[in-house]
Amino acid sequence: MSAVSILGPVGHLTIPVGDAPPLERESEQEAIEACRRGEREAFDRLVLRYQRDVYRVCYRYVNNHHDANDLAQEAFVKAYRAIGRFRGDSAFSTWLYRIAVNSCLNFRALKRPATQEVDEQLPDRRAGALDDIEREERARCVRDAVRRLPEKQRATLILKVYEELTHEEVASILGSSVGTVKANLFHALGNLRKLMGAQTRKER
Amino acid sequence: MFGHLKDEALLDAVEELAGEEAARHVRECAACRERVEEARAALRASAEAAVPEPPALFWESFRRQVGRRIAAEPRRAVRWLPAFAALAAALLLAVGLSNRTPRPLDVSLAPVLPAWSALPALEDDVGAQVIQALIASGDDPPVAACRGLECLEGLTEEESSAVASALRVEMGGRIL
Repeated sequence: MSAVSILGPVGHLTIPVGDAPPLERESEQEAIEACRRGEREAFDRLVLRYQRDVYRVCYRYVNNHHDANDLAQEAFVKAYRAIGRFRGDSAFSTWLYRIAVNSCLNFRALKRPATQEVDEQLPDRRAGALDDIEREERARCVRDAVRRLPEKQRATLILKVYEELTHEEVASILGSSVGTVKANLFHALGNLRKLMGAQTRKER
Repeated sequence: MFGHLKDEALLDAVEELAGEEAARHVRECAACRERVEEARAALRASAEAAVPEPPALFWESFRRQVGRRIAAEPRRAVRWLPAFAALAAALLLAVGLSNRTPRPLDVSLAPVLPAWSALPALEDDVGAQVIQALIASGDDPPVAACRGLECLEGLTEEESSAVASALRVEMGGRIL
């Protein structure tokens, strides 16, 4: 993990950034037990471990930072409220993903207008910047296409392709059978291809 | 094999996990092969959709915001709460705590008690008074869940041990 140093009122403050250190399974279990006993501070260890994963899933649903931040926070707060009911039948991460995905599905169901992402970055004139811009443009095109997929297909694609979960884990999160997950993923890939093709034609 | 492969089997082919028979079908059937190749192309393209990295300080801010929201949540009730109050009384008796106010420990005030049967009268029982005050204040759900001191009786050794752990957390710094 790296760190950044910022100048605060009492001097430089070093704040760790980057990937969270892996939380060993045993430590994770201890943190969960501590949360059940009402030790709120223990939940911070779980947030530190899973914040990126949850944020990423939410981002892929809504395709903008602002809503992804809100939804990811909401998912953690809901998880904290419900942690007493977590029985450990599935991995904690699977349970947490289920909460995050449900938050995203509810968000869509409420049909809140998605916040438009504003690109505040100034044009970069350094060598290779053009490649970066093109890469980001392709990524944006794919993310837009993913966002247009039907709910179940999108959830399946995000969890399987981007979060690299197994078919069984995805089935557990979405409450489907493995066969349905596979069929949904295959349909999602087919539709993704069509949507990206349509988008490319539209932009020409 | 008659007809085309089902979507589930086609996905196995995309992931190169199809059985021998299905794999042969994909090789020989132009329609199925085309669907598998299209799905593979979409899979390759989807790999380009990285989520933009938020600003460096975002994650710290995120944790703090979640922490603040959790701090605003009502304290969690523990299921074995009635049992909690029992050890609370015993431990508080031992250290002679005053009601919710930390103060230097005066061991001389704490009588050594041989057993529950030897508890002092209620008016002389500092720990019991503290527990009753907590029950009355209602601001400490684990203790408030107990409607009276009678629920402190009959704990098993395991329950007592669990209660002791919880009490150390709940009354952190105010008991030994």
